[in-house]
Amino acid sequence: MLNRSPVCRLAATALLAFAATGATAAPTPGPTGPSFYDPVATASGNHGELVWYRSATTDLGPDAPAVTAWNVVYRSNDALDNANLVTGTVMVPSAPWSGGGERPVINYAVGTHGLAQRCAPSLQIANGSDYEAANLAAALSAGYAVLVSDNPGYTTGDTPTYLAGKAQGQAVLDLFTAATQIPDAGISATAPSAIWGYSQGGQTAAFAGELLSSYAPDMNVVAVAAGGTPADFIDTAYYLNGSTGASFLLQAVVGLAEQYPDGIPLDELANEDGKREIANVTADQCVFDTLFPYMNKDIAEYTQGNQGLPELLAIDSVNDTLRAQQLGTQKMPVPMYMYHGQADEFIPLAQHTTLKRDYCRRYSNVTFDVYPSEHIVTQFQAAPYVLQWLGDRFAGKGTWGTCLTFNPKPTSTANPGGGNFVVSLDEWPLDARIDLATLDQTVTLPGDSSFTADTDITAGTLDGTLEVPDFSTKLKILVNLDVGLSVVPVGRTSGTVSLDNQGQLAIDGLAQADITVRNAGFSFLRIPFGCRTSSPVDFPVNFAGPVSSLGNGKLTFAGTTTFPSLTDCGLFNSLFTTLMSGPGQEYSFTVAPPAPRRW
Amino acid sequence: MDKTIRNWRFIAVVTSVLVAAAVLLLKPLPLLPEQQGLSGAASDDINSLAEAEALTDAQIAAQQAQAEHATLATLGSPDVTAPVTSRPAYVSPVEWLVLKRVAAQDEAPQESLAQLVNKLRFSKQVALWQSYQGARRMALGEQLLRAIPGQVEQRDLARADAHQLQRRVLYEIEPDPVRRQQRLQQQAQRIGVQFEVGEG
Repeated sequence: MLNRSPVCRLAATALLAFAATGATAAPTPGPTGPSFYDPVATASGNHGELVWYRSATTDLGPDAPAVTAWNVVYRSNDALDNANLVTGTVMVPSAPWSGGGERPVINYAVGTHGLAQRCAPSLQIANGSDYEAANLAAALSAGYAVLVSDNPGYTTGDTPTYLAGKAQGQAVLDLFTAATQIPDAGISATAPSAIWGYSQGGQTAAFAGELLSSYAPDMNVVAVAAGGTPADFIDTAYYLNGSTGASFLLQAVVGLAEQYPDGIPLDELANEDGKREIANVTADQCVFDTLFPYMNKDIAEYTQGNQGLPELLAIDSVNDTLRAQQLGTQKMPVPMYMYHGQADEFIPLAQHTTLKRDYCRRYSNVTFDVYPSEHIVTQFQAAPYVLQWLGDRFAGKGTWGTCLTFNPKPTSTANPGGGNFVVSLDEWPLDARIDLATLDQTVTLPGDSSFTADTDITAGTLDGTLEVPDFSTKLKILVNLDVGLSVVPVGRTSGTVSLDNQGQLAIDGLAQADITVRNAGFSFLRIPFGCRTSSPVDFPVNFAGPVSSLGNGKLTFAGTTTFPSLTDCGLFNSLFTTLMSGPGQEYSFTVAPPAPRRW
Repeated sequence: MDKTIRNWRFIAVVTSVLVAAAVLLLKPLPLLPEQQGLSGAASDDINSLAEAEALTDAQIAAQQAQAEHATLATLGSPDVTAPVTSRPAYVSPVEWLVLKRVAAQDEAPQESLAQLVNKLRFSKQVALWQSYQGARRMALGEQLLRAIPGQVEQRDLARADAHQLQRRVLYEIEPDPVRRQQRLQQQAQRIGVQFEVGEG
């Protein structure tokens, strides 16, 4: 039941009181309906105890492997060490584990999902709307069991304690313990596991890592991967306020106030506008619903007396609450992979590089990769690199980390905040092929082709350019005729772009290019300078799919176009027109961000 | 009486000639290049890359000019059908070598060669139409109108491009706006294009 009644809340409280007595009971299957989220007093004992479970369905997209899945309700503790109930999803690939030893487990810490109850990851994983599905599917495809905590406050009718790092970290650690109690799930208490998260999930993963020794010393965690991590809430708050990611600041205030009502007394601090917006955000908004309406908003709009961020942070209890989320105060006890987008417009890069310094000073084994793009792109671009790095740790390979590095410290290349939300594609490698219909063969554009564009999500526009160096290709005309070709862009690639509230990206644009034949390999086929298509070839660049496609290499523009007749090709103009022009020319352009750099 | 008989004989002869002519004209004979007198000189054919490489610039230019000239001679004749057993005159020896090699890579080489030959002829007719003026341009325009549906059907010409070409040709051929609209509508129907009244 997503909007829990007072009676149910009372029952839950009674349950927790009962649990504190230390009585134990075997986990039982829970009901199939919404009452699953209102467990009766069947659980007791320590955090990590499974209250109940049930079979679950998942929809992680067409590329996801078959899994067996469960929803779970389990015991954990919040940031103030009060017992709570948390829900989550446990997924185990149907295919047997083919690696050595026990099947490894990924404790996946989710990024911001939004404060409404319907945003809970377990609900979105079930209905196919979870924007992190691509990363979950990638981890499952690697053969790992994947555990996804909903984080405290979801599905229970409460307000999520969003960004309360300790609570989130403990919830992730406890889910592992709970998952080992599901009968026949095959998740061993001694299985090697890793904690992986990005953004809010990066904070969660780092907190979980720091808490390992004290909170879950028996877990066999071999590594932590945390990206886009808000490690210093003061710096991050200033970065978000009045900027593209202002909605995250608003949600952070609500979430932290829920966990620390004395630290952030919302009723006293929020003005009427603020209270109204808090009600809106918590009532029915998920992350993309919230992103746009609050973009570039200053928190002063929502506070009593229009106090700005400096005034709010001057309040001791507020300042203390934010500082309680500080990471890097403990040594990371296992090897850690840290990563950040250099153009991140939501979470500042500098405070994350400072976190690396702090961990290194505590002799942690840390590797840091800098990705070239912004926040959302990096989340999905990084997945294969993260999984490769974690795979090496599961395989027992050592890592030296990069605490000692001679590479220069990265500095932010983010687009300035306060304006439009622009995702820049800066010289992204273009993997392109054109299937010539008449010759029935594929021409692959050179590997150093690239696409540079600004996708202005606010204005809904795409504006970019293609770069395709001259290249030679073998055409099946006479034996394999070596033909020199140029693809010369005409004008700019332009169109419309949108990102909807379900995280679905849509691009509708057009690239145009002249195809030029520069030479052919036989002397009798003389090609004069200027031999080209008589008008530019249209390449519609249309895409519709999840926003994860921006980063994970699945941003593909494909279609069928027509090559016009050729002109200025001398004596053999008609011959080349015959061989190359006409409809039915298929093309596929895939763009993906450049590779990360290690620092 | 004699005069009457002579008249009947004259009428019978004329009728026979007309019937014979009609039979010859209407009979759906396969139109091979040889039968149309369009076949190129076999002695000019080249069969290897080495032979092609040995051609001088002047020879290549002459062969291409000869093929272009022959293209004009095919006005009114329909597309070739498979098998095309010898080089049509409007296909130069080098072009013939290339087309045969390309067609040979297809699963149905004979049909592919016929399609390539027809596409090449159409391409040359378009080029000639663009370069000529006057009556010859008008005749080439009429030829293009006849050939366009086949090119569309063979997927050698996009429907939109075909329709645009029809419009350009008819704009020149048919000066009367009403007649032009009617013909454009007819031509558009032949390639499956929905024609809107007032277009053109």
